[in-house]
Amino acid sequence: MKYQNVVLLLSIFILTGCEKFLSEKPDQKLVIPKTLDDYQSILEISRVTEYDPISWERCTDNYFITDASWLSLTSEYDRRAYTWSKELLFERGNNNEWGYLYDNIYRANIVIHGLDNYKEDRTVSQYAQLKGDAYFVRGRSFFNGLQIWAKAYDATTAATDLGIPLRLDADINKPTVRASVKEGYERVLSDLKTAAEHLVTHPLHVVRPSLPAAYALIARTYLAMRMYDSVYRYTNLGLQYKAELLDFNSITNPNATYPVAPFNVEVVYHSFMTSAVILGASRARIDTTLYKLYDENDWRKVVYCRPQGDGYFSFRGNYTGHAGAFSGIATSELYLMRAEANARIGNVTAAMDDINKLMAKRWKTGTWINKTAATKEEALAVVLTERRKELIMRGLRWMDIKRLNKEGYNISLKRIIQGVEHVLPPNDSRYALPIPEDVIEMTGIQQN
Amino acid sequence: MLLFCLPLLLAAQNATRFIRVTDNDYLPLAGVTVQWAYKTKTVLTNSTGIALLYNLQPTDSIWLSATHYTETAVQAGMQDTITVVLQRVSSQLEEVIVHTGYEALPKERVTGSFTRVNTQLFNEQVGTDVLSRLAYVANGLAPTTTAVTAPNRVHSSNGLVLRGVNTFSRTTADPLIVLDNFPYEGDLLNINPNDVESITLLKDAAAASIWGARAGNGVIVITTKKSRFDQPVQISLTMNTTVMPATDLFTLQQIETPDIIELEKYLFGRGYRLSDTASTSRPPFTEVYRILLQQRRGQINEATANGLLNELAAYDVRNEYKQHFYSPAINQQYALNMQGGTKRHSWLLSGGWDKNLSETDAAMQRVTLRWNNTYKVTDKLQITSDLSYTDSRNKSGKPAYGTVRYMGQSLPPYIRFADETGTALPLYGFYLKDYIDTAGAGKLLDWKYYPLTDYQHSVQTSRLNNLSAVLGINYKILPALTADIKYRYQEQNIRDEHLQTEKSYYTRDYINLFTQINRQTGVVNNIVPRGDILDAAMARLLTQDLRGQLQYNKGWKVHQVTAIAGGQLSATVNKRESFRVYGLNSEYLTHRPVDYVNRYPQFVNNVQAVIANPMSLSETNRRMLSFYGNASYTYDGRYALSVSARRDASNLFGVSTNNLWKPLWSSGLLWNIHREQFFKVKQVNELQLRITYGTQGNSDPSRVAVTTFRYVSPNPYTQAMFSQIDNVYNPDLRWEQVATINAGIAFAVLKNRISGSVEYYRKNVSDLYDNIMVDPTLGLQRSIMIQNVSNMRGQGWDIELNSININSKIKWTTNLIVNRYNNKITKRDIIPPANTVVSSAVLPGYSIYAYFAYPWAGLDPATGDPRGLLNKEVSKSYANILSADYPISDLVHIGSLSPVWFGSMGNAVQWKGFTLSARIVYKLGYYFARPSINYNTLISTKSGHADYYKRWQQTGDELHTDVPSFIYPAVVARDAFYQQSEVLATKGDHIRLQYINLSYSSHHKFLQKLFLKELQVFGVANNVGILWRANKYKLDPDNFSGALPSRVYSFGVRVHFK
Repeated sequence: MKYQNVVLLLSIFILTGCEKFLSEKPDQKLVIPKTLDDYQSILEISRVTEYDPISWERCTDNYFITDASWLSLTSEYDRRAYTWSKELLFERGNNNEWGYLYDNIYRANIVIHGLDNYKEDRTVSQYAQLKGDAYFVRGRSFFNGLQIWAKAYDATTAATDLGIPLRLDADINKPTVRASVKEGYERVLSDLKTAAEHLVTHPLHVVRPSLPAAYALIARTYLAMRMYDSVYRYTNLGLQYKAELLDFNSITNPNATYPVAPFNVEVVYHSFMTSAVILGASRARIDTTLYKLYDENDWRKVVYCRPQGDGYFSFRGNYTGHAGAFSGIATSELYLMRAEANARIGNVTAAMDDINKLMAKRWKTGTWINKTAATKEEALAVVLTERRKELIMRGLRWMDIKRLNKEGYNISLKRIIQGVEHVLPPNDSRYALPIPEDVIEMTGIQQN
Repeated sequence: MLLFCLPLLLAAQNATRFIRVTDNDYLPLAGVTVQWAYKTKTVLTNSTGIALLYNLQPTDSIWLSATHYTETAVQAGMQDTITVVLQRVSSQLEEVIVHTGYEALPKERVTGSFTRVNTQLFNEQVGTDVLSRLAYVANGLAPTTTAVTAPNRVHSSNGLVLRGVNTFSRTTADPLIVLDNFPYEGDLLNINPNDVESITLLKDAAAASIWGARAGNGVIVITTKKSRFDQPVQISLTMNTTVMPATDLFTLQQIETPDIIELEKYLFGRGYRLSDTASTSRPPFTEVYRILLQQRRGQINEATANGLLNELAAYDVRNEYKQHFYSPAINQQYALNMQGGTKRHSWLLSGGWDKNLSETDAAMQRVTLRWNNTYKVTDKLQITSDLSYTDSRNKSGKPAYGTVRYMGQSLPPYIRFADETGTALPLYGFYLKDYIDTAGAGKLLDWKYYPLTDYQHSVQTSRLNNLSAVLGINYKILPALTADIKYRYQEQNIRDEHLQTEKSYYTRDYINLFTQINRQTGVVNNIVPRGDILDAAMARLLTQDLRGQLQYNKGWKVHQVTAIAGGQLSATVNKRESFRVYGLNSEYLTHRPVDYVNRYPQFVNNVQAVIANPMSLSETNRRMLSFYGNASYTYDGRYALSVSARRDASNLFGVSTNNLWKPLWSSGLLWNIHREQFFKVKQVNELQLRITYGTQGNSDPSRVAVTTFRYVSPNPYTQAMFSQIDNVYNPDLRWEQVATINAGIAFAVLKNRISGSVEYYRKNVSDLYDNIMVDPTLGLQRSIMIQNVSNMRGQGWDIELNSININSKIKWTTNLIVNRYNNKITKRDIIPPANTVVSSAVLPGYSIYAYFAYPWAGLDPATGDPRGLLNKEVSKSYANILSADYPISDLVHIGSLSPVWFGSMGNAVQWKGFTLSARIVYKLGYYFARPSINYNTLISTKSGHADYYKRWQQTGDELHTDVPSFIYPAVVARDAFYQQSEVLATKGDHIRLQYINLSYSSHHKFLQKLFLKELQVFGVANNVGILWRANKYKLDPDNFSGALPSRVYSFGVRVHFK
């Protein structure tokens, strides 16, 4: 009656052995990554739901909040971050900046590990792009982590300064330990350079990494390390592939909620930060001194600054086209990095050329008068002021303060809350934010 | 019938006559010693229970004797065939066969712990399904309570708990159910209860460990009736009807209508919801509010308004349900069983038909067919086949109480479904009456909701087909060694349909919501097409099992060895798919496509939405490969030793083969003390000691040890799919492990007048699936992860006593079951916050059913506010009390939510053919949180608990009430604190008369003329009533939140044909 089935089942068992019988997926919807498309899907999520840190903005001088806003804050973490408290800047669990960061690293590690053991044809272009993508994601995540949880790079102490844990494979049984700042930056550079070997010059979409994005990020890393000739070299390499600037005169409605279109011609790589209540448009106000730096003819005075009716302005110039702050890479940053490198090296004219080129696209048509500089110092001062004005709410100011204070710029941060003044002096240990306390408890790594 | 009896009749001669000897079940008894002529002549009955008596005189006495049966003497008389039914000496001496699903063993040789429920006990109650009536009669099976079956607690899905729940996960809380030889994966309703011969509960490791990794919660083995060789054709018919009067909705403790109207007037005066008159989503107002609004706008005067309100005050929605939707439930059951056997072939054919109509007219029809055959091909080779088929259909009925909703909540009490003439009244439960009366200027479908008739247009049907085929080959290799191969194929298909025609409110509403009307041209554009909406879901279950087993059974001198060893392959595939069809014309089966992608503005509030597309596909596979062995050795009938071992592997735990295989073992010892030479206590005729130890497992199909991802949806920028982590590489993931020690003593004294057993067990459960904190640095997208980390311990007593109180013409027997069970979590790394402990989270050091509550500090004498304790001081800061930071040590541990002592007592009195049996059940040593008023819910739903009348209203009330005062606006935290405070903790202990069964059985001569052998009529009353309860609120601890279920009456006949 059911002999055939008996025979069938028996032969399945005998011929293919129990191993195959037991290797059937318990749920058809489960994906055990095997194909390149599977690996692609693992990285793809970071472009949709994963966020970059925001503490590098929560703690900087791009903004301030009024006493009334301070009182109405619902998040204790925001309050502590705003005053550079030494503890409890992050909630427990994985839904915080630390968790998001290492989430991306884990995913990149799964792909790197999977590609290393990939048995099929490795010559297809998707293989190389994926490999570059995974290394790019990992290198970039380590870089972001170093900005937030480690001291500024200082060649003299980097070998002993505590960096962040460098998790390099997907084995979750390996312990979490902190590497040095030096090891951290070396890993960032090696990951990004590996990425650069594999990435394509023109990606399917700027939410995916590309060769110019990798070069730009390498340049940014050297900038944080204050190695300016390398900054010069990699900005040049990046600008070879992508150099177009967005003319702010062409923005159709400078008074729109978010006037800058996402994925515009300047965007080399698109990503954005997680949100923080304190940085919402209803609370965060652009620093008044910073606001005063914008000329009446500078479009950024309108495009970046939304009047809030309380005499102050909130920021609306996100390159994301929505409330999320842009943490990607734009060509404007590349020009500013190259200008700074040139100024420091002594190529004053080249430095001023880049500034003039950028400003022509920022000011109302015909109003910008090309600037020149007599000395290296003069040029550098212009470049740094323009950098300050251009790259606000981009997650770069925190890194700039840290590295410039290492150069003796003596930038102090100050908050006044209900008459009480809070100061963060230059090179303070609090520039490395406290690591989430539950991570310390579970892993035993040293707190900052 | 006549045909089969004819040969016997013809063979009868003057002085030589036949005698037929059967047991209580009318099965022929072979080997009975038959003596007559003053015991000078002796013969034995043959395998059909027949013996030929020669030279028999009508005045002769005939003596019949057989072991285990009462010696009986009958008068020869004049009949051609003498039929005698031999009574068993007592149920204790019955040769109890323990079915483990792998083998059947006599009780005397089984070391493990089991409970056997036979047909007779099983049939004292009536039901459509097999297992629901077990809870009251089976020793060791725990009853459920409302609190422990709440969705946030761990409990078995079918309500059966055998010696406690030994896990933290709902997915691993069910006992394994075995039908004859294989785990049963289908719907338990597929089994016709009239096909059941017995049910065996395997309780300890020695009994259950043969089932390995799925036996951690015990095993329930259902054994169906089988045909036998050498038996005449037997036919029996069972018919019964069960009537359950409609639930009395007035047993619900609720606030009466006039008081609700007063409350609404007050709320209106305070401006509650008045801002909604301007809301763009057009929420509806109650009838009271409509009247009050009309009055305020000057459309009606105060007298008219009061008149209208008084009219409403006379209504009660429970009457509406009662009148229009409720009627007595009637279940009918018919079962026919035929069996017969020759020397080489035996067969059994049975059929059942059930027709149930619930109190709200939901219909269920089931047809079951079973065909069982055994062929003795040669003396060594035997082939068995068992085919069963089930077809059942369900159809939804009228709405049950509480299912007609108003703004998604229960109805205000003055709602009516029909006017005096019986015409359906609309319920404005979704949008404002004034709005839908005019919206669309007649171009929309009627937007009113008529609860009285809507169910006719929204019908859910379900059809299930189940086919199960078992084929077995048994070959005797040597006299003591047999080989057995069994294969089972089971396929169950379920198709659910929910058809909501265009006349149903749902469909009309959905079409209207997506209707666009051009204001200039008046052209109507239906984005959701006109027509019916059909939701369909298909589920297919396919199970295949193959088992090969060797069996060795040999006895010599004083030794007896029984051993089995085998291997088994099982594969279960579950496939599901569901979809929806819009614009269906049910008559011609045409349908219209819809746009699931783009967003469209909704008619009422213009918010853009996509059309719902409830489509899903899924498939799961479970595969298992097992090897097992079991051996027992009995010496001189005095000592028995058993060992068993089993290894399981499954596809659930993936590639890491190291952990794929898990050995589970057990060992047991039995000592029949009464057979020892030295044992000389005459009064004790049986004394048996048993002790076993072993391990079982518990596996959860949703746990996978490898890293897996799940595709989510495409990245909108690149169109490439993105995926997220589903399972994390978890190499240590394994089965939960239950180590059970069981010690028992069984005894019988005074010639079996009193017998019983006492058993103690302890279950040490380790490797429980529980959460551990995960280092966020690992990047696993989760802060907690499941691992085998926690431990718990359960222990208890199973005591059973049987006595024959009177044993003469009237026979009175008593059966008492006493069970005790409690458990304690011995290790858990995560300490949950207090505000989750009061709802369901479990704490180390306490039972998984521990009941924690906030301490109560009485009502505030000034305001009637409930007060708790915060930092040991009286406090009304409810938010702080309810916060996660509240110290757990400040909570009050009330006790257990699950009965610690439970069991039942059955009494049966027999006189002639009458048997009256009754059983009381009891549950002791537990608590429940009694329901009370929740003001926040009262204000939003206009219905609330009758404790409202006991509320604090003025200073001094706090001396005699604990019900907080009414305040507006209501404070959610204030209500929540009161609900979770110790003041509502109520003792659950109670004793209930569960059922009474009166039956009459006749073998009267008159029946013989109708070709009947036996006629049995019976009546059962179930859920009779509570005899005693510890709480003073007159609450039924099993049904404290809803209406009380009615008493259930069943009547039936069982007929055995000649």
